[in-house]
Amino acid sequence: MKHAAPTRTLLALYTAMVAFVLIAPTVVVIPLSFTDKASLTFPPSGWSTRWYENFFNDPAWTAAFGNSLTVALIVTVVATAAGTAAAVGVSKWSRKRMAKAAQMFLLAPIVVPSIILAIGVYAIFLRLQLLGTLPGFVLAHSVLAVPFVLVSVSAALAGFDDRLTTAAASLGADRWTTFRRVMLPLILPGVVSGALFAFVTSFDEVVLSIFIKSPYLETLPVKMYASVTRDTDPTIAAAATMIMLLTTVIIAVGLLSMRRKKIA
Amino acid sequence: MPDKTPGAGTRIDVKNVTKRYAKSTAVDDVSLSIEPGEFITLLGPSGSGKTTTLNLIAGFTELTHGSIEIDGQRVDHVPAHKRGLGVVFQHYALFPHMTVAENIAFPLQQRKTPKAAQAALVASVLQTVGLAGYQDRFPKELSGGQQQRVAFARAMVFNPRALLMDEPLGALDKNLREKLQLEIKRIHQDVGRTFVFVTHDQEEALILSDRIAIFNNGRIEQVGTSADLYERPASLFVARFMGESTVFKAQVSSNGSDWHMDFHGSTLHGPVTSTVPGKGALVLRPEQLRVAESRADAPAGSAAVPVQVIQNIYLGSGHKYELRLPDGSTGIVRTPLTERTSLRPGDSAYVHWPAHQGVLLEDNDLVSTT
Amino acid sequence: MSSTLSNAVRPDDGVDPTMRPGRLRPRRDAQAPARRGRLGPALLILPALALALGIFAYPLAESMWRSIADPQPGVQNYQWFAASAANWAVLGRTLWVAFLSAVICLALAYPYAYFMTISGPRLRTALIVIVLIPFWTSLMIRSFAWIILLQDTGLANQVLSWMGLGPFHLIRNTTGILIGMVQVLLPFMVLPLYSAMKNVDLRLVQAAASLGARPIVAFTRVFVPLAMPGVVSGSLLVFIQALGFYITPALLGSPSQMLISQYIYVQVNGQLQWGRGSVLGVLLLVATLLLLGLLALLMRKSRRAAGDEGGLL
Ligand SMILES: Nc1ncnc2c1ncn2[C@@H]1O[C@H](COP(=O)(O)OP(=O)(O)OP(=O)(O)O)[C@@H](O)[C@H]1O
Ligand SMILES: [Mg+2]
Repeated sequence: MKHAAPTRTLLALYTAMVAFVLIAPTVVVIPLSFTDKASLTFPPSGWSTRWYENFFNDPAWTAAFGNSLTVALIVTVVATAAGTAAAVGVSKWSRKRMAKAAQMFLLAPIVVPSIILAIGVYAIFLRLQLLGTLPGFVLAHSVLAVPFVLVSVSAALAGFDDRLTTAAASLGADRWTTFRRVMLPLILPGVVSGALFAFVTSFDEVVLSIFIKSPYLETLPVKMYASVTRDTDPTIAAAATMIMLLTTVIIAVGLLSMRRKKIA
Repeated sequence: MPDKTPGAGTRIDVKNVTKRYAKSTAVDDVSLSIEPGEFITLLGPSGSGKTTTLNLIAGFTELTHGSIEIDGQRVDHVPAHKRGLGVVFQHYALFPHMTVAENIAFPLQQRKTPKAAQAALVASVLQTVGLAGYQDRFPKELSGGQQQRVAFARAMVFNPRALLMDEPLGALDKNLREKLQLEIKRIHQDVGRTFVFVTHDQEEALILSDRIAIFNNGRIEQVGTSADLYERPASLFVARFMGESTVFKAQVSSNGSDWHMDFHGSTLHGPVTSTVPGKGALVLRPEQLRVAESRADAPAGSAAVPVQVIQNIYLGSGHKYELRLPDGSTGIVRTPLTERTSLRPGDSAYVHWPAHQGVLLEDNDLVSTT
Repeated sequence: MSSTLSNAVRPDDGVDPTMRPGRLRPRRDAQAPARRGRLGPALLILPALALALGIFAYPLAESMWRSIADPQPGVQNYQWFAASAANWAVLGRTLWVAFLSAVICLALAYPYAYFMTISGPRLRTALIVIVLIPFWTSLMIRSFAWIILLQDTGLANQVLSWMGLGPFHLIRNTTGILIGMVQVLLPFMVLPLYSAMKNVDLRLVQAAASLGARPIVAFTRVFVPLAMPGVVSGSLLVFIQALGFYITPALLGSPSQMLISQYIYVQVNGQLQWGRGSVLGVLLLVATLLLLGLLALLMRKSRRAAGDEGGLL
């Protein structure tokens, strides 16, 4: 559409402002992590890496970081397997209404406010003594991660030509071989992005984690949450910067691997 | 404001207009004078710049060079909504969230026509396009042909200075097309406005137009009446685009009053009427040609070229021959039933015509068939 | 042996096997995988289903149960909620903040999404990436960053004081919640808006111009109504999410001006009033589900109105 130059300029300026609101706050954290003062003033007056040293020397931070990684990796495996299987199941199930209902139910955990889920899970984990345990964290995070895998794999399956499975079967492949050799390679981009979502979902999860943590086992966001509300220590900025770096790397790797697949 | 009296048309002058995009020149130095009340068709192959030219006139696209005048006034920098031209789009462009009546009333609202007058105008234009009673339907509740009529009504209702139409019948099936072609022609005769019509269907152009502008590669090759274009094509492109033709290509020589060419041993000649090209192409229409079984059967003094018969098709009204010329190209001849031959595929024969006929054009084909 | 093939030539079950002795075994073999084929898909869903039943449905049911059973059976928790003006104030504030979030998001996102539709492919890609960045960065980090920027001595107040304004209290109050919430929820507004706008046929706007409509009229009478489904679904999405937000209000809001999610936390974790917390949870859940139902309904309707030309989201 054509627009008079002033209209376009105004729009561009407004858009730039909104874009600034969207990214600026996140970027602030990076310089702050290199401050030399023990205060959260921005912009910093001097530079140092002491908060990174602090992070790696403080067993509370490193343990939280290790826990987050462990939980997120296991959740990625669990949620990707369960979510992919469910997506395939939903798409193949001949009783479409049942399949649709099952899908809605599986997606529900990301629609319901997590605080509601959190108090329920808290009550049950309390009873089952799962609070502050690795299985507890994995189970709770997996419930929130599966929907993302489901959505992303379902989208990939929508573009999958079902006649290919029939073709593979006619060539003598059994079900598992057909899945592994024909379907999986074609829906892999969906599976990979689902796995990435699963990892990030778990790695970032706060609300449920605040309820199910214990003094003995907490994840990085929980530790950060406590740190934000309690102390004014820039170590949290160092932690935040590293998380951002990690997420960016994971997403970049995911995108790149997907692009390679597309070319091949 | 447009004049309300029928018969009053608008003049549109396109003067040396060029439209360049980053990677291509869509319209290249095009000039075109559209007379008041005229029905002119922009005809040409896909990508030849017809839509771009129409959009430049309508004001949807900024031109790169040149000027456009409506009734003598430059409108290059007048925005589309102030040009007062009606536009019918190939894709209809009906507003899906408005009913038929609301769609048609839209241009009237923009012109602050009183409510009562709006209703009357909408009713009357719906009558004209044969859609009385459809005013409360939404566009998606109409068939393609009905939508087309609404688009037409909407572009007509405010009595625009001229009506521009970009392949308005392109999406319709053949029967409906033919029906609407006649309706458009009737409406043009009734309202006497200037109509500018875009199509790539030459038959449609022939049926509708007073004049046709042939587009090729962003340029206009020729503007003229159907008869002009068919009988006196200005270029090989026009000759081939407008109907069937047989082309004889060879070097041409001239003695001032007559030109000569040696077409694979046959001497062809004719009177010089314009500049004689070096590499010539003599164009003949299928009706101008005849087929004979031997040279002797051709009348004395006629031009004749030996050929081989590819097909001899019986058409009821006559015969159509497809012939292989000595240079390998194909010739087409149509003869009335009274001139029956017994030629069969593979037979040798002669194609002949009265020596002065045919149009000599420059052979500007990039790859020569000889 | 391919099961598909043997299925195809399998004789009717009514045929006497003795008439075709050799057929008896292959037929049974062929039937087994076919039956597994019918149940197989359902079996694939089972692991995910078990997880959702155990860690989602069961806890939700537990919460609902507790709202009428804790500390003793009865509706006293609901009575408690209804009787206290403070409770209604929390509910009202939550709805108000969610409403404001949606309005502010809309005001920010509409021009942004519109600019996306009229810009070239490169700029458009960049703008989409910018919208998606918040999805990649953790909520914690962003809330933390806002605290730094908005605190009384933060960058925002420094800039304001250069301009001779402030200092203002920008966090630990509703302003703080709104700023944080809007940034988090903006993508949920931009994406549906953009997808609705890019489905609007811009040639219709051109058509309006040819009919004499000034640009502003063509925009308001043609573009805006056609992009309206995006506004509706974006606003509902933002509103729904804003209702149940916890982290942002907890970090940027004030304990004296709680939203419902903070109130739930306080009841359950602080005062161990499981029943009361659960009542609040049930209310929040019902509100969310009702609004989601409305969203689904409106989307189906507008999809049908658009003649099924792709979804809105
Ligand atoms: N917006 C644009 N940007 C770049 N190039 C364009 C644009 N619009 C048209 N062109 C180019 O200009 C040339 C002429 O296009 P135009 O649409 O005028 O052709 P047309 O004669 O209407 O063809 P058709 O019969 O297919 O509609 C084409 O080569 C086209 O690729
Ligand atoms: Mg065109």
